[in-house]
Amino acid sequence: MAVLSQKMAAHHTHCDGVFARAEAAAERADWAACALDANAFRDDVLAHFAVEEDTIFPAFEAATGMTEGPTRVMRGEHVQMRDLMAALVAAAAASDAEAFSDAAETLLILMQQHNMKEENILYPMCDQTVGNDPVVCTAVEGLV
Amino acid sequence: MQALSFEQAPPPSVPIRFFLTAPLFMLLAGLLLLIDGEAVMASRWTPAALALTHLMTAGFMLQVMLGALFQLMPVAAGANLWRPSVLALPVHLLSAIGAVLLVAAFHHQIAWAYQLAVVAIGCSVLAFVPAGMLALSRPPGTSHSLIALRIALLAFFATVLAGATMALARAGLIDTGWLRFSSSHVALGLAGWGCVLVAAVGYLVVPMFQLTPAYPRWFARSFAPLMVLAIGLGMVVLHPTAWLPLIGLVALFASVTLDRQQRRRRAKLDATFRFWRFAMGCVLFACAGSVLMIFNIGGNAVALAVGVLAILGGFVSVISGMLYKIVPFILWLYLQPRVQGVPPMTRMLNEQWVLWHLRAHVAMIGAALLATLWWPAVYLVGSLMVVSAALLGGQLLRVVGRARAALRLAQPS
Repeated sequence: MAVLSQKMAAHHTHCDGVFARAEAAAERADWAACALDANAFRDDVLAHFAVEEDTIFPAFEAATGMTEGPTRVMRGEHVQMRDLMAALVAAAAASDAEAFSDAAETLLILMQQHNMKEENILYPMCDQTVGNDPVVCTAVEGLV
Repeated sequence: MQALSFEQAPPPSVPIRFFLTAPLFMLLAGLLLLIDGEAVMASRWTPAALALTHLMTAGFMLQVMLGALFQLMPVAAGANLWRPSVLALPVHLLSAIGAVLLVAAFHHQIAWAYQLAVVAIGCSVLAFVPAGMLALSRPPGTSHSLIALRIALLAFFATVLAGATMALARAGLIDTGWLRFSSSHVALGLAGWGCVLVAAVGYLVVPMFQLTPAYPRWFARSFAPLMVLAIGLGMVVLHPTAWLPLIGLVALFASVTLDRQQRRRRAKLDATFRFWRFAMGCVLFACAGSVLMIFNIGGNAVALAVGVLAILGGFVSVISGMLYKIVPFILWLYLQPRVQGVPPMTRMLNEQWVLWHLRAHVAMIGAALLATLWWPAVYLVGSLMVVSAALLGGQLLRVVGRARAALRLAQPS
């Protein structure tokens, strides 16, 4: 029953790891590695958002009728994170340590509190409502 | 299905009014040390020492803890307080005024001030605790943080109850025999309310800020309930050694936290992380000192050092580190959807000044430990505490000022 929760939370952890690599590269001013990892991080997070916004959230909204509730909040925070990830990638490309730190600090805490809300509240609700939906299962399995 | 609540964070003014009040109590504590330092270091039972202790606990710590609960309960636990904007006003005013009255009562031994302090803090607690427990009873989850928050809130109530009883005994209204509750009051306040609340928050923010592994499930599940049992044991068994399990549990929390932080995946060491790590080290030394106290080793100096390490080293460090992270984030999160060009969190603060606060804070603890052996060092402690309060308060005001400026730019009048 809790496959969706586990897989999506594991993917959060994976994205955290790529973020940490990018930040570590920035700390040692290895901007080539930082740019590679920052891009990989953004791509992984965008893939995660796509599974949520295109598959899980619509299925959840259809199953519960809650279109103005948690999924709306999550979509709003995705917009904020997209902006910060764009700033992060641009700072890495420009080898700009200060701009990278500015984007990374805010992005990290925003992302972590977002993940916490998903993992503690939204995903368990999705497990119960759409956890066995084959379309949802396929999309979740596709995240690596 | 219950509607999700995590969008219902209170307006930023709700927690921030508490956070901005807290440094004023630290400033008063620093001034008290400069004026009355010798009496503070003479014994932890002098009027000046009790006044100082309560400036930091019932003043500084309580303000931040209440403000943090207003923010944390809905956001992290899905526990929505009833009309937080309305509730925050009396809770904030009564707790702050009550703390000032209590400190005045201790320092000058004024009976009416004790009584008014009991009324003010009591009303604040009676407004907040039932509302908090009601909010915490609603979420269906059984997360470890939720359970720890419930226990912490009940311990808060019990702390104030024991404290109010002793205050009324000091005011001469009831028998002075009630003063024997002092050990229970300290254990309930620092361990049951303070440490369990730090644990409830730590389960969430330690992994979040430094990308550490989560606290082990066995630990997070059992820590807060075991703390209840250990406090109960110490209160019921009238022998000092009955407090040893509680001390062991607090040391275990600090050790597990340090172990988590050791396994962090972030390379960057920010001020919040340094404040937390320093706090956990101080807590371990405070636990070792408490064991010495139980076996009557070290006398007054050890008793004072334990207070320094637990309150200033443990709680004030964690709180300072958290404020530097949480206040800019709360305001950033509020402004970002409303205003174009919100400054990043890191630009709302001056990170160099934050690091200077960390240095002043560590030096203050060192000076305070020295003062337990050689009291004139207390004037250095007082000076460093005034500096710390000014740096903390100044940075928090700077963050609020930046947020206000961003709002003004967006809404020209």
